[in-house]
Amino acid sequence: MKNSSKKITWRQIPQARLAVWALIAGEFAIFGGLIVLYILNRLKYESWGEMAQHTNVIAGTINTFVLLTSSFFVVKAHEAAVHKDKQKIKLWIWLTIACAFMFLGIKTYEYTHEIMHGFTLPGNALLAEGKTVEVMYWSFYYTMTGLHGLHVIAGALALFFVMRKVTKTEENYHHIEAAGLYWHMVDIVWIFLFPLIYLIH
Amino acid sequence: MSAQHTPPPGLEHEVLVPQDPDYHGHPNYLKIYISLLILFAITVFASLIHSPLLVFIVVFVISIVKASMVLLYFMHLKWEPKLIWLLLGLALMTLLFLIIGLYPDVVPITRYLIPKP
Repeated sequence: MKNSSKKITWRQIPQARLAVWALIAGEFAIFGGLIVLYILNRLKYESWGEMAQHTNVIAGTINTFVLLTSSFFVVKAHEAAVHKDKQKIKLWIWLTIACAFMFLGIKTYEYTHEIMHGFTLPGNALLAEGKTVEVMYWSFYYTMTGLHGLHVIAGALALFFVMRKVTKTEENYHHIEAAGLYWHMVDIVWIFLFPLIYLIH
Repeated sequence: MSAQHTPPPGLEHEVLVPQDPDYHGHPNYLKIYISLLILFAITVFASLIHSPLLVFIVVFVISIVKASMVLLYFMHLKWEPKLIWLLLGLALMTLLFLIIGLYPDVVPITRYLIPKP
């Protein structure tokens, strides 16, 4: 590890980074609440385990790899921003955006597959069989993964616009880090969603 | 911080927006990424264990380790001032209150409190 670090005080935090950290704190409370409720219900209802078996583990595994890799790309973009290397910033951010597209593409494939098998958000097919608890599983599934998907879109857009502005104006390079922080938050949420939704049957 | 952003004498403490983002060291990101991938592989293989409770404990602990690594090194939380830690701590406190508040609704604890006739 290169030891070029120097402690900063709270007065020295760039406003953009502080704002993103505040946003992240709020997001953790939102997703944390959903995850905790999912766990409590999962422990309560055994049939949720059966429902979890209908998720596509391979797709979830590939998506986890994609998001972890994108986190690495973002942090490399931040490293390039420190050196004010515009070409490398563009390269790493575009790779991250490509990962976002890949993630969303795989998720769309999963949703299509699940909806075609009757596992929808209103859960009409399951309701017809009187499976109300199972419908609740899919409500949680679509809410958590859907909300996460929206954050992936927001993160990719933020990275794109920040990259465009920074490379054009050649100032405020630290905005790359602020947008990157948001992207890492998206990755952290998925780190918890993946095992809970796909792996624990 | 570069020379052009050096504050005038006596106003050093008023500087709120440093333009130099290199306030922290740069850990070996590749090493951390590989560690995350190894933990990810362990998570996937751990799911093959036949005890759901054990799987839950193992994968959840690994998830916490992975999230901490991303927070500390990729997000540089390790080098952030206490204010940021406080912000995240407040979020976790909110979450804790939420759990305490919602737990009785999801898992009815009254069945343990009210004696069976």
